[in-house]
Amino acid sequence: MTNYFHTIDKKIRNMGFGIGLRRSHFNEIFDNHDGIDVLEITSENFMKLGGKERDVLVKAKEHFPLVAHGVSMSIGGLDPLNKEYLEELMKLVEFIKTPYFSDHLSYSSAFGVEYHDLIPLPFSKEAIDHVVPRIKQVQDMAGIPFLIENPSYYVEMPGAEMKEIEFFIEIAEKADCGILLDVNNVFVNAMNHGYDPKIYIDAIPSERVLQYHIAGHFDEGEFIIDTHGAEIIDEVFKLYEYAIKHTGPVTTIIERDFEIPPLDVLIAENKQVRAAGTRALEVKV
Amino acid sequence: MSSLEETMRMMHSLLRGEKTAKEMTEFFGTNEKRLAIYQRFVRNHVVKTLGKNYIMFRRLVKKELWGILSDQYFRDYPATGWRLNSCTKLFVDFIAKKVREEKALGGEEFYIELAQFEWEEVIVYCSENVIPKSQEIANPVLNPTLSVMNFEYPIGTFTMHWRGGKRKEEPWITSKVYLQKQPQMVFLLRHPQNQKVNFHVANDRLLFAFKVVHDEIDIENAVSLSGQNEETIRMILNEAHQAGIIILPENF
Repeated sequence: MTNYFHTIDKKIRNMGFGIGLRRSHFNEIFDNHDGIDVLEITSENFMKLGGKERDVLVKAKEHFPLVAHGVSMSIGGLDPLNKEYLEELMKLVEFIKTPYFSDHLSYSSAFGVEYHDLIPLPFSKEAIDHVVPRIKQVQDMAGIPFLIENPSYYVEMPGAEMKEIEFFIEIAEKADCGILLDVNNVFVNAMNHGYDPKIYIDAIPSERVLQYHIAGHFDEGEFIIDTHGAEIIDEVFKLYEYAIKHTGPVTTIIERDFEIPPLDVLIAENKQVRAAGTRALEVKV
Repeated sequence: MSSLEETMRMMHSLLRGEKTAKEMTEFFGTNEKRLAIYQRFVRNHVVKTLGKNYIMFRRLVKKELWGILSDQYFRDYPATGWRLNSCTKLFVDFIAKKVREEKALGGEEFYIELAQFEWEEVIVYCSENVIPKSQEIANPVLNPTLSVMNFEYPIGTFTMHWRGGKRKEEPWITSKVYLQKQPQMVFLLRHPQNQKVNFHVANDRLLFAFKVVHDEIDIENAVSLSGQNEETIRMILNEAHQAGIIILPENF
């Protein structure tokens, strides 16, 4: 068995703090990036595209370390993994020299139809047996570590045989892949499904966490929605600090996909994330 | 216990709108509101992308009709490609069917051509073709992102007026002159300078430059074939170069 996630050295595990590369910042990011150590590429936004996207990607890889994060692999889907998608993804992975690539532990297509959204899997043994070989397949194809991200979910699918955290860990361990821990998703799921987010974090095998996501969400009252469209709230910062204490320093990316603010706002928020990460590791005497 | 496939089939029915959230509450053991989140997200991805890719069409047909059309499109044309833009590709076919078979939109073929134009703009924007730089070529070449479109209606003129900023006051738009047939050729391309999608309504000079480069006619032959002098031909080619239709070598 190839232990891809073990091939990551400490420098890669902690590339610092960064944001996602978004079109609205294309013209500014290369001149205004105070405190941004790393950029995350949403894979699909740069796959099979020429023009501005391609030009920016070429420039971005000269200026920043880049990591690839996808949303359309449908790793949990029943349809065979999309060959064309994977080929294009591998081209991108190779082109930007990302040290690892990631996607969500969910599915985004079924029965030949694309949903363009992340649909949760049932926390069942059948789902584990289905997903594990698919993760191994993509990891072997790329030859670099694949990370699964804990997705947000609003409905627990019927057929659950275990808790969400048990499901997540069993898959990561059986597939021997890395983890992209989305702290906001932990918070959102904990609130929506009534569990203690710290217990979830405590159970995470810290050595497998190769990247963090941190983001804002929207409170609808009855439940909260993982929108990536608002600023990070204090409780999520605190949970992030708690998580960093558990895992040690790990590359952290702010996810902002909607209501994207001016770059300066994200730069300031990135500094807050850095401060929280640094605070978490301070030794109190 | 539900199998993985059964759960996914039930979710599929919900997401495709074949079943309402209310009908699914028992199977999923949760309330309608939580299930509706997924229905809303999946539908919105398609509808919002449709509205972005067919922005002139959307605004032209107005909110109410657009709502009906986008709902029907979502229902009848499930997304099949991983690229978000690709889920809107068949909107042109959908509109053609509505106009020709159901005589929707007054049965006006203009709307089909408008949708074709807007979809082609997406194709050109996304084109993986790399536009060569002047210093990389020895002879004039066509812009590899160029798409030449022939319309029965004045799509280029419509777009110029529409995007000109005063469409609500522009008589050409308000009196619907665009619905009168007026064949028009349009060059659609990504401009080498800024990678933005541009279009030009074909005129004699642009067509001449296009033909010279497309048919690889050298200046000497272009002079003898056209009866124009060399200076004029170079000027015409330069205009097409500035427009982004052709790329001229550095020291042309």
